[in-house]
Amino acid sequence: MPASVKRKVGTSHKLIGILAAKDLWHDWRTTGVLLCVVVSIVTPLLILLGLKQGVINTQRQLLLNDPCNLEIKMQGNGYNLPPSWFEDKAKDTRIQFIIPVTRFLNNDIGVLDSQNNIESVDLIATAAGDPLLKMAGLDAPVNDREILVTHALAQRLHLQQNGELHTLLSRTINHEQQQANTTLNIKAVLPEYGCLQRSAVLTTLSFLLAVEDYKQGLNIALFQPQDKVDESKMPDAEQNPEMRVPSMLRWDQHEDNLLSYQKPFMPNFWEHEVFRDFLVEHANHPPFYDSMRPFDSDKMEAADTPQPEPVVNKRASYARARIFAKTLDDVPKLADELRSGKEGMEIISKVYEIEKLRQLDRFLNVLLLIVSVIGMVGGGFALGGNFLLRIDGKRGQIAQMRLLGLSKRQIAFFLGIQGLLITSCAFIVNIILALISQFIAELYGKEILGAMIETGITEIRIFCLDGFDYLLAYLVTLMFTGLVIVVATRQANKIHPGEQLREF
Amino acid sequence: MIEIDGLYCTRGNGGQAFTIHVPHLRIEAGELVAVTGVSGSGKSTLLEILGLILPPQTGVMRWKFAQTSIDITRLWRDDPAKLDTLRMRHLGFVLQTGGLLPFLSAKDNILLPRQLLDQDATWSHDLQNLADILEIRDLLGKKPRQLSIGERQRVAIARALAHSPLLLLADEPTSALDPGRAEEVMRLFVELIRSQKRAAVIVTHDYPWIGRLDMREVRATLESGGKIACFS
Repeated sequence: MPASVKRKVGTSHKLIGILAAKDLWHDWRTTGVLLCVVVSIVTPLLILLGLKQGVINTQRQLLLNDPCNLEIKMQGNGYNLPPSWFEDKAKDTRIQFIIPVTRFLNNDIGVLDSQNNIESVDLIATAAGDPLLKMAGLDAPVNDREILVTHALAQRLHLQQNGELHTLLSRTINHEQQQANTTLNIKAVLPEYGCLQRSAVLTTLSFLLAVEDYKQGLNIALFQPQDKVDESKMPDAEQNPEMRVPSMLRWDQHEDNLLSYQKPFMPNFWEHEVFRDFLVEHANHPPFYDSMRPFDSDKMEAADTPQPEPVVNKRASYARARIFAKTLDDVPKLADELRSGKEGMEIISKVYEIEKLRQLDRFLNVLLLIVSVIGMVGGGFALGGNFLLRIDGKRGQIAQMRLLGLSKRQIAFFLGIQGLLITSCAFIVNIILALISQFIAELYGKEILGAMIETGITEIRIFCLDGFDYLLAYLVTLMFTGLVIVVATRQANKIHPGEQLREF
Repeated sequence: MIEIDGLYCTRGNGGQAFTIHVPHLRIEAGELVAVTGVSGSGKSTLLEILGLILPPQTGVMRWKFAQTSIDITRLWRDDPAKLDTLRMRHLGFVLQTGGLLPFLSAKDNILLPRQLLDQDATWSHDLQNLADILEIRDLLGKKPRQLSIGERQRVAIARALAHSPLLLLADEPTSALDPGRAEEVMRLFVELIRSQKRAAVIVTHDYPWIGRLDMREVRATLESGGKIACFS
């Protein structure tokens, strides 16, 4: 083939693209009609998709806004879950957080309010990764004296971050009432979650286990008052003999008296007269024991309280677990597995609400599909028909281009570029109309739905379309237009160049 | 330059079939050939064959130029896509009403063949000369719908010559013009072809021009009850 036959392909593609654009511009009326057809098909579908996703996402956000909706709660006390069970569950990718929990009877502690009244609150074991903390952007306690408190508890006792919470534990050992106290440091106050509207304290697992051990009668070093005493602020015991109350840390044996008093260091409530009387009454049976120093049984002749053994904080099994699924979709399956597993657990979760959301999503998807199919079929006929009419009207022009030497493939490219330009320009209009619709939906929809939706949602999105949705819609529209172009090209390829030679 | 021997081309089927027969035809470079015949005698069909638009069923058609010989009938058989490229490079068409692309200006229409061939697409001196000869300099910025038929024909002639084709094919290029304007356009057309040493095949009914413009006549003769047109 002589060199004159060969020519550069890339140049002709660019030129054909320019010719296609110029043809569309020249024939703006027909082009406008084609644009309107594409816009009228795609824009309503985009709006419906945006509203559907907005409704679903709002409902989903309602559930996700409360991390408790991801929790799978175990009821009952006696599951005896070994550490290996926790290790296995921790490997399950559907579980984002799991931590052992003690029996119900052992997971409460007494706190003192401003009136020195004792109130029992729940203890909840927590650790890094706890969704209750993650949602609020809070860190887990790093030692056993650090805690987080619920919003309800903070309100009731006027607690604040970096404040202190005075706690009291009690037990009965051989019919003897014993109590221990400790002061805990409040690391943070949790937001008000749906499942944590009660008074509760979040603490480390080791603290929770220590509470259980203490209640079981074991010796726990943790349940002591604060170590550091600012004696300079304390009234002098010699000059204030009425303030003779035993030191809980520095419990020294006196030769004649098991109780001796030093400069009292307790906070004011320990100096309460009733409490002091109680101590005096139980002078021979100190209600507080000190495990910081070993008991010297030789000196404790008058004491007949059995001395507890030092505690070893270990567990062969745990009663229950706190489990949080990773996503809402993981909750039902996990709950079913725990119920039907060999443990046969009694489970409470938000499966019903999650399933309701799924059903709503499926229903709206079906609706959207029906509308899309109707739109696409109708739109296809409209667009295809318009394109074919356009081809028919340009028979002479197409024949002329064939006479000039453009091949059938190049004519197909010409029409393809026109389809691409029409789709792209129409899609810009689609995006603008969808954004306007979003603005209107957000403006009016929030007023209507905001009153119906529970508080706690920081942002309601009535209309939800992201970049991926727009891109997907664009690609689907391109495919759709592409099919129309294929039909139009077959029609155009039937045009014989010789038609131009037979005008008259 | 163009050799045709024993060529047959049939259009239609059965009773509607019509056959073109060209027993022997030579068209040399720089030669003007007038194709004549009654209406329906296959003149436009012959142009389609010469224009590489319609394939012959039998016979031989060759192009010979620049020490190159191209077997057109074999190309039709083996690689018809390349005929588009040959047509683009070596042929120019002038149609009855010009056949300009409506979305391009007169200037862009004239430049288009060069652009398609990736040649120099600037408005060169030779194109300016051509525009002056055809008296279309003031029309270059206009779209075809803004031009009269005669103006469109002159722009079409410029476009047909812009890429220096070997052969021009014109199917009654002046039939839509009034007689005065028609002769003027035809004269310009023939002068340009001769000055650029192109070959041309012109379908025309204007027999007086054939002699006046010194064109060789190839006449279509109907045979077999009008079923076969023989060009000789």
